[in-house]
Amino acid sequence: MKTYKIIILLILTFGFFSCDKFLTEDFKSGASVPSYYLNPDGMEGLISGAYVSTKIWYGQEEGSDFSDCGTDIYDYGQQHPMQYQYFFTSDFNAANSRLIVLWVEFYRGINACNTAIDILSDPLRTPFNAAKTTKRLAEVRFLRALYNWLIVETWGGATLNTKPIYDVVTTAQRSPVEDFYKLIFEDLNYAVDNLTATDNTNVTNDYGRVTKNAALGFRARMNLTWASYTNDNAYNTAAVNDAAAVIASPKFKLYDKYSDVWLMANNGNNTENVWCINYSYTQYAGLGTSPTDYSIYQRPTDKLWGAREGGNHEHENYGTQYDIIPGMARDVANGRPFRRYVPTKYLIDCFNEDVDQRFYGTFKTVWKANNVAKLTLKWPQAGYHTADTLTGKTIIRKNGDTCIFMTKKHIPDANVTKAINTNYYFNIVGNYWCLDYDNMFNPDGTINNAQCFDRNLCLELHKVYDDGRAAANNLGSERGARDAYVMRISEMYLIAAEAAWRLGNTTDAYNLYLLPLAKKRATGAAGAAMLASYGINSGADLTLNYFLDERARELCGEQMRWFDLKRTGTTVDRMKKYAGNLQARANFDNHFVLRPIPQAEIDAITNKADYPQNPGY
Amino acid sequence: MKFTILLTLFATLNVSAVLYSQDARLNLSIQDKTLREALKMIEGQSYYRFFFSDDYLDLGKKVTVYAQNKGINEVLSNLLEQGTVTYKMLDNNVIVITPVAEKQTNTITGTVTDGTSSEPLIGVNVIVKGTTRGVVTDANGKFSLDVSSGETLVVSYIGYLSEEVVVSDQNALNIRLMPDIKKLDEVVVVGYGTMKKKDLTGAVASIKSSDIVGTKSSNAIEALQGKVAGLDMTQSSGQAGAGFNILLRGARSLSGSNDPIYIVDGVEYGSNININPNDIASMDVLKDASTTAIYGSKGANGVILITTKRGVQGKMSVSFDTYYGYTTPLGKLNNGNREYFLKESRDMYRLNNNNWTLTDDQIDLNTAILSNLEKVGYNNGTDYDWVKAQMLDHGSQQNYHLTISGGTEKTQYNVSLDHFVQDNYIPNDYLKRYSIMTNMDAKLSKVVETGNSTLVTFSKNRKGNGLQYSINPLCVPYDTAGGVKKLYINPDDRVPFTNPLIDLDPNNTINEVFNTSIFSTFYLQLNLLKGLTFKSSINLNMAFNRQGNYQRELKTDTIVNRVSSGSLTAQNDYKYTLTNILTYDRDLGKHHVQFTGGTETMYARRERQYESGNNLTLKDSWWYTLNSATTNLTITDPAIDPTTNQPYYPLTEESMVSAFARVNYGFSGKYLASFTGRYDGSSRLKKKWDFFPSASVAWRISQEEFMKSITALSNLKIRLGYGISGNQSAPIYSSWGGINGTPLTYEFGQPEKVILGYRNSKAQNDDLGWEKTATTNLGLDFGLFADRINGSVELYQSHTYDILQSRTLPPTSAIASVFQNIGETKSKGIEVTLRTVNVATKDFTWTTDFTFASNNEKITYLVGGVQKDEINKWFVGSPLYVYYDMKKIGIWQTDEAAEAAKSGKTPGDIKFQDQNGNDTIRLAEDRIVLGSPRPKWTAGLNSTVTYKGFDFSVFVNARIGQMIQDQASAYWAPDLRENSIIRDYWTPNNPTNEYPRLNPGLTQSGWSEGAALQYIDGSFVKIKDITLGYTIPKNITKKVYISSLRVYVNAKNYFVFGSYFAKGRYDPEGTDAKGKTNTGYPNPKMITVGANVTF
Repeated sequence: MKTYKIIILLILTFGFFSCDKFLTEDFKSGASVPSYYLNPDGMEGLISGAYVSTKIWYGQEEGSDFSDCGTDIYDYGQQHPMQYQYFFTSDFNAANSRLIVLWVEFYRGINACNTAIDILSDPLRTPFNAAKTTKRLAEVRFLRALYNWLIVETWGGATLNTKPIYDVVTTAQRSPVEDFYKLIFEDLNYAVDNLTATDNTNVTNDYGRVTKNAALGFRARMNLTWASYTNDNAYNTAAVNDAAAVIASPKFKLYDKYSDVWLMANNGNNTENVWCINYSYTQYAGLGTSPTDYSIYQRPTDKLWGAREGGNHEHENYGTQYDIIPGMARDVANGRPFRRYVPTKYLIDCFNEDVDQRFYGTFKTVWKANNVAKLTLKWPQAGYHTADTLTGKTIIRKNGDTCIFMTKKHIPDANVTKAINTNYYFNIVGNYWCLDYDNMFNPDGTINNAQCFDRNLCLELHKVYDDGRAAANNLGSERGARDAYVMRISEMYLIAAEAAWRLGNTTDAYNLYLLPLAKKRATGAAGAAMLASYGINSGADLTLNYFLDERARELCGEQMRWFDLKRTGTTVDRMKKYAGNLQARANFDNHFVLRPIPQAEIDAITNKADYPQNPGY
Repeated sequence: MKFTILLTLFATLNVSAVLYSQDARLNLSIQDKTLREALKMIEGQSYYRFFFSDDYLDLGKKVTVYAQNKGINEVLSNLLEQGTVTYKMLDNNVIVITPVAEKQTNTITGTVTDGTSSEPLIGVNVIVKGTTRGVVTDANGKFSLDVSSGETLVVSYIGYLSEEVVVSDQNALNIRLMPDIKKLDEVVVVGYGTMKKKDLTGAVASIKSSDIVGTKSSNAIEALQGKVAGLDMTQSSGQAGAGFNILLRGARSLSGSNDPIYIVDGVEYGSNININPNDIASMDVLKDASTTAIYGSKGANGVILITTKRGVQGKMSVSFDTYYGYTTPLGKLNNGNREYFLKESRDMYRLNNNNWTLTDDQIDLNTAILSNLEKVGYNNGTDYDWVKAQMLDHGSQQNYHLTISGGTEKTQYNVSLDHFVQDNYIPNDYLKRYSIMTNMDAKLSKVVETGNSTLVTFSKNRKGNGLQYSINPLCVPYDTAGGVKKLYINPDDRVPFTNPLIDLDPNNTINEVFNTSIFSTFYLQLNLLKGLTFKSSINLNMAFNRQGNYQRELKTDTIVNRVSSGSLTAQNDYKYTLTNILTYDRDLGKHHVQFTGGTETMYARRERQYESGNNLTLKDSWWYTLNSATTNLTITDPAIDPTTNQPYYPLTEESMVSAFARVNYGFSGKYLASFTGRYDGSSRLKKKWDFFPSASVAWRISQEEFMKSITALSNLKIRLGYGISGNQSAPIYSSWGGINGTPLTYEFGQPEKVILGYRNSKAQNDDLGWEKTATTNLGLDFGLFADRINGSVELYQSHTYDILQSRTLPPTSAIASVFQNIGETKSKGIEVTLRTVNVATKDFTWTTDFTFASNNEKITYLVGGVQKDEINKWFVGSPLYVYYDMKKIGIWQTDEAAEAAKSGKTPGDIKFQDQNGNDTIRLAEDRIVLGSPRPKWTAGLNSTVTYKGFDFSVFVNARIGQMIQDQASAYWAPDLRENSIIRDYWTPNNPTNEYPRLNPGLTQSGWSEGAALQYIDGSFVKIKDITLGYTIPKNITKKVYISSLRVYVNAKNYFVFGSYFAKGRYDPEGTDAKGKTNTGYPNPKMITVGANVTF
């Protein structure tokens, strides 16, 4: 029987031969990191993955929520799903479900940057030749600087990641603001030094990639920012130099007609564009296609939006509800109004629309009737007016007639009648629906909710319109192709002017930078007259408030306002004075200048003691 | 070697040989040869053949014989040792050598019959006690055997009590075997072997063939419903081929599967047991860790062992089983009709005009409220029953099953052919299945046995569209003009519906799953020593699953057209399992030792492809010409794998190596102990190896001397076991770091060109391990009055730890989440099984089986030590799945307007309980755990009566205390844009607390608070099954060469009691695993007629 036993033992043990090899997984259905990045296509994919997080901020509601809105220039609109965050009560807190989306996406972008930087910095691992390695490294270092700037200006000294993360990490540290700016400047210096004037300037292939001018322009912005915090004139000087270098570039030219800046026809070849996020109408996954991407950080009752299927969405966010007015129907040209944001009185007041092209270039004030066939309202109809003198009058005769007019002017009350059961006013002289300055705002300067039909109607930001979409309404047509400008050349004039002014060089500020810009922006090129109408007759008249006013006029709706107020230390003053609702004016205090660190971060880390929440939250 | 059986075989097979008389002469010269060689030489010289057993013949003994022209008798008397053996020459030249003690006296004949029915029993073993001599009964229950007077015959047959008969001088015996109501000697299947039930130390429930064959289901697992205490089963859907929700002793895993594993003939099988119930010999359910630990990392959710029928030695038996069932939906939904819709419309009018004093006559629905299309229907009296229009008059279920079985002593076979058809009352919803099962066993020699079992199935499962309820009864499916079917039912200003009748045309929508599977096992068994066997088997399992979806282009409507679309998913599974088992089973005096040990090696591979496209240029070729798609041609699988929450991988591979062992020890048949262990190595994990042990003991108190005086107590056993088993909940590849599966996109250049974006999205996870469940089980088995009343009680407590939970990582780490072993759950419960034999006489028997189970599961730890996880709806102290929402306590009434206004509500809105007492009610702060879809207790009662040829059984099933989510209550549009169930809603004139007011500002989909109306008590008691059968007397059937014929009628699912059903709903059992009721495919009730024929 011994033989049998031996055979049995052999058979029994046979299964364990080469066990470890048998139990080794070979993951053919997916790519593992980092081996995937070690080939050229993989690295290009990683770099694309580093760029993509910019799409959570630029051209998106999530970004505008925390840059333009809730400042002195914009307040919430009727359809904003999280209106309460603009009251600045205790409801604006660490559980905020939009801040978490931004936080998540910025750190994902940074990790992609860090992964690429780690590999590209290693000559043995980079899949590119030396020239391309340097170019791509400069791009991702620029992107890392951009994300770190957005983080540090939103949350203060949060987590500064500099190395790629592949494994399970359950801790995090906070770093000082200085460390952020130190890395931002190191990254931008590398980008400026290593990108050549011709790198990434081939429009056909590279439009949207980081260029030397983009790096210079962004470094100019960072220099001015850091100079604003530190009053260190070295940074002011650097800001002037960087901005001047971009201005000197033959690639850029201010349009004579301000509204041309925003023509969709000029999208893609805009001469004022220093750097933009490149959008198209095509459906791409973009960001946040998986419901689990952000939802795991949020409570089920939170209103989740997330970035939707690519595309620029600002055309919806700033839209006003023109289509509730009789005679109007929703169409592509007029857009799909999501009514997220309403301009404040301060912003409207900034403009001298008689001499400054930018008022009408910025706001849409006139809507032409497009639906008179279905206009069932004719005078008289029970319930629509009280004045018998109107009997028998047709409201609007034909499509193309002015149907809605919103104006900074004052329309005499005698000319206006209000239809019963509605908040709409009808100008019986001009024969159009109207919303005038007196009805837009309360005497205290806040937005007049009732007269603006619960913030559904307002002057519409026309900078973001997009009439090339396929349909007025369907989901696919929410995607706008307008490129989101991160920096325009006019900002370089303003940076240089402000930095020069901060250096005491008021003459240069006025002559070299403010006046050339004003000439292009003023009606009939009367730049000096326009500046004079704003109280600036020479460089000596310049004040910080002037720069803030001018930046509001030039850059409103371009996701800069929060940063301008924050670096100039004027956030609290201006919110108390100009915010669009009384609660915000009453509640806003210094702690709101930093946003709360998302609770999901604090919940997930095991070293909670090392990670204090920003004060006041 | 049972040579006597061989003799019988030879006789029946009529082996003809030249007759050799006893005085045939032999010439031999044998010197110092072994006895074996000597006998061989004689065989070589003559026609004589020797039969003997080496148990008593020393074949190695050296012998020397010289014979010159000697007779065989003389040669043999020299050759064989005198006094110990003797021999006998049969008339076919066979010489049988037997021990001398076996005095051959007379040949006895006998008949074995069933003690209750007097039917002859075929294949009964008749063995002379203490010897290896024996025979089996023939087709008439007859046997004949040579015995000496005073010897004892042991007559045994599966399912009957063995009888011992002492042979006296009689020549004919009539032996009646009584059916075995005493199950202690019953053999139960346990992991990698079998045990006698009396030797069990763990919790095992067994269901035998007789309880399985009557199952009328596409999934044979239904046989277990209500019959195994602790196994909670519900049928989720009335769709053809739909499966069951199964939980054994509740749920324990938060993210992983809670399904038990199924083992068919020793090898793991999928959860769809597409084996005909007629082919199943037994199902055994391993419930506690002391029995499941031998399945190691897979055992925690319980193990269901299915043993298929194998051939038995005897005459070929051919049987045919068939039935036809007539199915209709169980219950009817009280969906709105014309009258109700008009009532709602008038109330909407009153609401809009804020005038509740208007009488019906004062409201002209033509001027307001109704859409133009509805006005037409209103004025010409339309009351269209859309639900009826979407259903057929009835469905059917049919089965045809042919079995051929039989065998010789060396070879046995069982071959069956099956055809199963389920045609739903939902049009185009059917399952057609063909299967062939072949089981073969062969004994090659005394040592070597081999065999094969193969199950080949292919099925076509068409899936019809679910019923729609929300189309209003004033609309008709046709254009008023020419009776052309409209594509959209579009009551101008209301929600447009796709006309469901369009897709009743089987060419317009096709959703079809075509499935082929092959499950084949080959084994080789070596019987090495007495009690020592080695069995090696290899199983190949292949499954080819193709799902096709097609929608035809439709241009029957002027408003909206539907484009054609097609998709094809092909999923191919390949798996092999190699198992080696060594078994040693010996009685050594009072000690009984059973050892089972072995190894198992498994490799599984799944390949999956997907393609889809729209606007197919080649019309009507379904999904077979997708390359003709002009839009949306894609190969990206949109389906999400529920185990990974990721799109399906195109390829998954997995391998596992295991070693396991079990030792059972019994002393005196009183004290029993069992130890098992399994060591599993898996490819899924970085920490590949883990160990799963168990230990259990039992004490058969009734065997003790001091208990013998209590004669009423026939059995009393107490069992205690503890063990750890695992759950393979880590999805494949979850330990891998990786990039995002769905590419991100960023555009560069003008015009924009996309570069797909990838970055780290999964963390490498080296710490992943199995979930583990430690179970303590205390069991009590008892029998009274010779086991006329017998049963068992199980008390258990289980603790599941290292539960795989998705851990959200800090967003600063850029990786969203990772699976880690962190959660903990506990459950405890009680199970009672009771069987009574109320009456047992020759003509009349009555037995009752009763099961009861109550399980209490709860979460005890969540990641981070939090008490609640609102996103996953996990709460420490609550069951694993709960309903978490605001609690409806009524409707705000008119006099409560001021209080309601604090929460922004008006009279007629739902009134919720203010949980935190801050006077306002908000979704974010006032939700509580309302209930769980897990029942408080379940019970089953099966009673069977036989009287002469009649058999009658009733099966009642109860499931009590579960909360379910009523989908019919979700079909409610407060804005009257859709039809709904008839409900008692609030108006100022009808201050009900049942349903809230109409509300023109709320749509069905946008109304989150409406969910509160769906949480309903789903308790029910069901008469699940009533069967009446009649076995036609043999003397009639024999005339047409039928040995047995039984006909029967059966009513399944006919009577339901419970508040939910009484509300005007479908089957309360018809819910998904999360308790959501299924109104799209209501569960059926069925009347069946059938016949079982044996030839």
